[in-house]
Amino acid sequence: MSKLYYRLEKSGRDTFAEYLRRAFRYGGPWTNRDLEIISVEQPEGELVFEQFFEEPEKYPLITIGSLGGNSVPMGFNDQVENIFDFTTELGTRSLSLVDFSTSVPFAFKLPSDFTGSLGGFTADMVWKLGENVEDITIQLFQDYFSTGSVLLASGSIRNFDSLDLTTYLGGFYPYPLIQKGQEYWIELTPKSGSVYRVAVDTTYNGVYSSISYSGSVPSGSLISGSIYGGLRYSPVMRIGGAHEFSVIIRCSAKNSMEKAQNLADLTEIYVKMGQYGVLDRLSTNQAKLNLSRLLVNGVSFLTSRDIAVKGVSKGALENRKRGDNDIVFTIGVTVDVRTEWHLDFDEQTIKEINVGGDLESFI
Amino acid sequence: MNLAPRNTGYGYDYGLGIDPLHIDYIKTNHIHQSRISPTPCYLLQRATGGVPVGYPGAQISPLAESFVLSDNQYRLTIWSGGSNHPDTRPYAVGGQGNIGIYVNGTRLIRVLTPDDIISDTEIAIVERKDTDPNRVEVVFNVGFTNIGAITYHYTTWEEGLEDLSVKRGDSSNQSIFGWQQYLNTLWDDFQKPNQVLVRFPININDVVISDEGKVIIENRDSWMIWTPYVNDFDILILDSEDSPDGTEYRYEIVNSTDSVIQRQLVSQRFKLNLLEFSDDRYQLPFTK
Repeated sequence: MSKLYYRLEKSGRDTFAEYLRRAFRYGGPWTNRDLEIISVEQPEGELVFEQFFEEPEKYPLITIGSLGGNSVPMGFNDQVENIFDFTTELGTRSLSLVDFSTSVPFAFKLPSDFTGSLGGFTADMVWKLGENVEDITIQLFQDYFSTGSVLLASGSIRNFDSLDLTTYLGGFYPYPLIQKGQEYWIELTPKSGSVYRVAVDTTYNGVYSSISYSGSVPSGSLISGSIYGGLRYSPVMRIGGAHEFSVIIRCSAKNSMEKAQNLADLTEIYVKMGQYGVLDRLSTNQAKLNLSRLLVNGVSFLTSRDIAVKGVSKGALENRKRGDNDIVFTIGVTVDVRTEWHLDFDEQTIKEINVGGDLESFI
Repeated sequence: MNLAPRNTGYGYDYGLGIDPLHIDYIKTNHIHQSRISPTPCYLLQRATGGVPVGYPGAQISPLAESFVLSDNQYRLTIWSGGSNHPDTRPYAVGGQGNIGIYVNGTRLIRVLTPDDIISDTEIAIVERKDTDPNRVEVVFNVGFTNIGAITYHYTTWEEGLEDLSVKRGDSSNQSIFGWQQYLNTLWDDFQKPNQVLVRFPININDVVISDEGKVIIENRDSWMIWTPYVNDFDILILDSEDSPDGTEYRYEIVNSTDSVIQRQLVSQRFKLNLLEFSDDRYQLPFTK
């Protein structure tokens, strides 16, 4: 299953609208260096909309639009790379060891929100001293505990006699496709009377079980937790790049130049704050915002949404006649941003597309 | 309406305005006029508000399995696919929004995003477009556990709309709150059930040339009696059975104006835009 990840114009407009709605909703009065206190009263309703909204206009008003953008390479070219180690973490700590053997296999359930091509899983295991040393069969089932269970994929982990916890990779090929709304289990069965131990994290929000078979139907009591390890997506080829565009934030007020100017000034400052920190509400009683986590690990509101601000520029004060008696004053604040996109192709897909091709036949 | 036969030319004070009997007479005349060369149409009206799902005071109690605990924060799914999509605007009804969430009968305060919640009396509404089907979730404060006491109600709007732009075109049927057909069980020789009679203009355009040579193309008005009341963007359907060439035509009403005599609506005039055949609104169902 190929996936496209991107933050282009629509996402940029949404992000700035969410940010400014919060900033103006919770932001109290601000002082600009002892000169004056700026506060902007909200109209009844919401202040910030996407450009060309259809609600009745109430001033003051901020509309957010975007100018066209262009996709640019990351360096000399777009990014093209193979990714083999995409994992979804299951347990994060080894809190307990569970024995499993030929007669009592071990099974764990896949998280219900995992989707995509499954490459395999990693788990920390040890050999149980004194037992046989044989390969471990791994099997992926759908509807595991029912008579209609379906074996989707299988593989094996080569035998080992390590007495230290070691991470082992169990891989499936071809890669099974995991879909939403289905229940999947992976079963580990050692061969010929060998016994191994698998590390589990009992605090993880999942279930595992020690299995006993009567006929072909497995049964076992469910225990909270999962393996100490993770699920591994199938390898993908990632193609990606950057995208540059501008968001225009138009601050309008009716019959008041000062209100339009204040709105634009505050908007500019808020955008700068969003570059460097995260806005938090202080308390329910006071409409105040706190600029916190300032540049901690470089994570700010905008960078956490993969938006890098290249520059903020403010346009001229413009006016427009509105009806017979009113004038709407507007100042546009333009934010130039850089975002990114990438597309992950399953390597199987790439094979089908045959990107290698026979170039010489074209020459 | 006073229909007493007292207006015989004597004893009525015309300082009070036109005799109510005359207005009645005018309206009856309009009905007769509407039957002269009319076009019978079906009328689809844009709903002006959402449908209530639960009411204040009679809220819905969610099932326990509608709650999901993630990162020590309960999330309640109030919609996941199907009809009756909640109106997720955060600012409607004086900032409260159209979704009411209650704990033991006390309404919780809605804030804009889950990041903004700092008290158990606050909630945020999240529209999840990353799930299949999409979901509308209520997010509670971290550590809030009193889910047994939660009740809710909301009003609907069409799926696909965004509170950022609120564009009717974003829903698949070109309306924010959906459509309802004007239904009429009374009919006569002039109109079939559920139809209304509309007088289309004899010629659609008039070219008016003023003395100075200025040329104006006027789009002529259509006309109908006072009821049912129509609004701009309502749709008139000329069914294929009634259409002169056997093709169904749909028209959008624009520039509707009322004709009022002595505070009584007696007729309505409006212009009609023929909807192109590619328009989504040809897919809206109607009952004959």
